[in-house]
Amino acid sequence: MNISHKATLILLLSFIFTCAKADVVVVVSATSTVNSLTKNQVSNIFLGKTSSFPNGDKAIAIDQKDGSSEWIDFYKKVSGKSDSQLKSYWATLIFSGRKQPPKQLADSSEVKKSISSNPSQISYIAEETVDSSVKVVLKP
Amino acid sequence: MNKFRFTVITTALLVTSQADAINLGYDVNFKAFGTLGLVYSDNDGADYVTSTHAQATGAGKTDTVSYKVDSKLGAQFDWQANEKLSLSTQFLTKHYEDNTWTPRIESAFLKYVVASELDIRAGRIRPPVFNLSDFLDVNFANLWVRPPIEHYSAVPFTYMNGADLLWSTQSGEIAWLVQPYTGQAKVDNAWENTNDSDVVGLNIRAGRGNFTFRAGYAQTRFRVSGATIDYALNALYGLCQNDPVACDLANKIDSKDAKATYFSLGGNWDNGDYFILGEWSKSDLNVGFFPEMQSWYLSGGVRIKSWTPYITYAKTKDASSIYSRSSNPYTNGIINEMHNGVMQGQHSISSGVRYDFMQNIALKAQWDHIKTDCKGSQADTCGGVFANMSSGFSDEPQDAEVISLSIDFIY
Repeated sequence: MNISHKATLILLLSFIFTCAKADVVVVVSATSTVNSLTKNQVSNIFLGKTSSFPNGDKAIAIDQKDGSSEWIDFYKKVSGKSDSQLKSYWATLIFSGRKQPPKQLADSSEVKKSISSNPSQISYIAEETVDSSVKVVLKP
Repeated sequence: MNKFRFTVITTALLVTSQADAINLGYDVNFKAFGTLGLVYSDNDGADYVTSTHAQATGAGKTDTVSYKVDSKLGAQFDWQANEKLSLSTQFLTKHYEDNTWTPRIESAFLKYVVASELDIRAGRIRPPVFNLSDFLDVNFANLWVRPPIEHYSAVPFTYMNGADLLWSTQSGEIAWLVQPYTGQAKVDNAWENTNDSDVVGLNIRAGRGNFTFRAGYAQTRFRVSGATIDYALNALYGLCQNDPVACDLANKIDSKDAKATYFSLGGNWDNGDYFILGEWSKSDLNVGFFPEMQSWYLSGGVRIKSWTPYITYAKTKDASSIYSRSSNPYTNGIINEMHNGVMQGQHSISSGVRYDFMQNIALKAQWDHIKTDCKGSQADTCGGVFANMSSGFSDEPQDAEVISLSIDFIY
């Protein structure tokens, strides 16, 4: 293995490492009464199975752009469902008229802006974008 | 005309790219679903249909290969008036029991958020009589080419005009949905035309992690009428003097008020890679000689990347014990004759594969091996879930090999 190959390998590994580090965390407003949630509880809120937090307060799920790395990572870890499974799942709720899917926002900063001003909202952002405006309630 | 419908469905499929609903402005969203399907049946003695209530002709006798069994197109408009109030309307066109494709309004309701966990809906609603009833036509949302017909053809209506409550709540790790509903539906009464019927029911779901459990109960009250009923009634009153069984039956029918109950239990387990789902139901139509039907299915499969192979066993049987219950052979003759006209005993083994080749489009192929079941040696009891039967078809057990190919999409 010559030097340039080694360099490529290191670059590749560091790239993979960076990608792997871009984990999503589940967040609520810093002023929310909710401090921690389980994977199941989060999954129930995002799959429209409940619209309140375990303490009874109103919960509004906010999604990132469908197909974004945060979206894929979040649903894979929290619900164990793939892209097309989620589409099938939501089709059952949309066309039976029971529920509409969560509102989607463009990126982590849009999500933070929305969440910090509404203590009912819950969403997920890349871990490194967490700041004092939001509170992490689950690292899936 | 049929060619035109076909083109509409094809065009709708072709313009479908990414699965984002179109916002038409004024907070109105447009969404759609559809299926383009071909079905082959090797039994030309009758037509394979998705339900004997919903379709009068299909594959086998009318056409060896038919696009009419599964093809359909649904369109839905959702309007969010404000944070609490929304309006939803769904149109559906498919090959209906009157052999037309005239679009029908499957749902049109106002939904109001009463509290964070409680919604109320009023208008035209698809009641969840069985597990998949309220999205039965959205084939993309279901695993198979179509939900098992042995089970789903038991319910003779798809929508009602009425109201329901949706209470979704969470206790610990369990998510609950409790949904009572009531309204009026047009119910197929099997001997004559459709009738207005009062419907009342309750749907309960509980989910935790990979498990979902569901129970449902529905009751309909409808009027029994028509020439066939009048004929039976006259004959039974004629026998009344010598046979108390005939009297009892005649009085029951003469009230013209029939109650049908549908009870169902089901569940599924899905860990993302493997899944198993099933449902059992008991449909009891308390009109003297109407059968008590039981049906169930069990299905399982595995997800391998975009491919989902699956197998299903489904069965529906007549569980009534009304045969020859009188000592009078004439009374028994009438009971059996009326009863036989509505027989649906059948079982099938299916295997198929779903291929999710785009985020919102799935291709499916399925093979069904169907056998109809007779009630002992009684003639005219082996009809199964088939329509448009040739004479003699229901006199002996039938076999059918059915092969289906379909493309399902949502938009």
